[in-house]
Amino acid sequence: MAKRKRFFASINAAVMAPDEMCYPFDSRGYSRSWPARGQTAGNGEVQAEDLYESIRTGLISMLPRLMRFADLLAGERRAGARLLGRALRRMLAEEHRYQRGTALDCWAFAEIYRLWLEERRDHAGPETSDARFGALFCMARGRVFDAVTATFLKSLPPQQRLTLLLVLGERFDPIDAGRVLDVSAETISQRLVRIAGTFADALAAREEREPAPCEGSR
Amino acid sequence: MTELSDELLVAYVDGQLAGKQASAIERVLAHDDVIARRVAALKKAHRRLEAAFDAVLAGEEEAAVSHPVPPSPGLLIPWHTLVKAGLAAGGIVLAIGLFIAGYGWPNRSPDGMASGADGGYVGSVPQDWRDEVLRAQALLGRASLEIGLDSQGDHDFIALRLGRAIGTAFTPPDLGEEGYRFARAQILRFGADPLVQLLYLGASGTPLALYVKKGGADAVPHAKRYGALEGVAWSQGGVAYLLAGESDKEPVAKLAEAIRNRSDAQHAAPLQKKP
Repeated sequence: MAKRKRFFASINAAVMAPDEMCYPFDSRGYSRSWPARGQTAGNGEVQAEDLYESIRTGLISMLPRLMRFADLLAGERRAGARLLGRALRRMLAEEHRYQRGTALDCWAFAEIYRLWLEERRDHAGPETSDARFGALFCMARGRVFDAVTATFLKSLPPQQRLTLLLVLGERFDPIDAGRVLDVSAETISQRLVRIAGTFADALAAREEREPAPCEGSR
Repeated sequence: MTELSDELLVAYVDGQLAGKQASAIERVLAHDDVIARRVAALKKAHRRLEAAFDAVLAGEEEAAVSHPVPPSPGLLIPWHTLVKAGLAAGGIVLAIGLFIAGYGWPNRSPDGMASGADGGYVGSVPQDWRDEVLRAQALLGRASLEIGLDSQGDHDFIALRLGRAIGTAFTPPDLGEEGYRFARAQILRFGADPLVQLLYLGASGTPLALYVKKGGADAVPHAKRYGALEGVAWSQGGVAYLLAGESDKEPVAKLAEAIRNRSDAQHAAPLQKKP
């Protein structure tokens, strides 16, 4: 946890004065200063702020969302934090590749995913344990841990897990989700139907476990 | 029993179907228990997946906000910045070393020597960037930074702050029909008087600026060219306006006319002061 705090602090410190350090995202994790997808203008352009803010500020404001994406991709927190750190460094070093006026979140997710693919090609990591994967869902105090859903998500290949995250968690439409994962919108829709159907079958077939609060998991 | 594919049902559960299609599904649900159970199962699956993703995000947010830590040298400071800082530190150490060794303090730069005779001199000839930025900085006051970039999407907040600044109800004109979208607003100062600057962006080109300031008798629009900028100034309802942009005279004049027409209603209601 201490490493994690230092990680966030180091990113904040790179761009903000100490007295300006603040919590830059709203309750849903969407940037207050960087538009979420639903806040884009009708013509697909993001709002005016992005023309005046650096990509660094935008990335910081999206950190919880990026972290969630990386965690679910890597399958556990530590690997997710490392992956995100490497991806952020690369995004900042190659900032020029981001096309101004396009959705930053879409680009950032795609960059994380691309880096993960590249690294995986070179070296496939070990299988994540159930406990480490389950811990992703027990970070927030007072949340109910849904073991059935966590187990189901762990059983999915990362690409399918991310499909669910982008469509159900991030509310991306299939086109943007497809851009992130480098597949067609049809593939996204088909995956969604297949996975949702399978999960619904699983839920209907088994007796649900009694949910238990996450105690002492932090 | 009616046959409906999972594809259609998932689209229904996601709220992606048009009104007629959704109504048709609902009619089927009303009399087909099998389909109704399937839809209920899909909805439950979606809810649980969404809740699981929300739980991960909530955890990330808690981790991010808990115990703000004083900044430490960041891994993400660009290398070139570190190199520059290192070189600067090295230069200072070298200068101090030379000074201690008896070589004296390094000479001032030609710029410094030129202005050394008259430190307060700020001439317009020759003009350089320093003069320009100092003139621009003179327009900034504390209020300039009180409307942050993160508030620019909140039009009500912007209108409230600007209205307070100029002392009358004021809403940034919407120039969407003219092809300009509102980008941001800030409160500058001209002497002690607040001066509102509203910036708009067209499909291309530099920003269009509307300056608003309290005071002045009503006056009809008057065009004037300021170097590369075309400006149209007028007063209306006790408020003075200046619209400026890198454009020809006619488009700016048309935009000014559009703003004038939309501003008429605003001046009817003066801003109520807080008790």
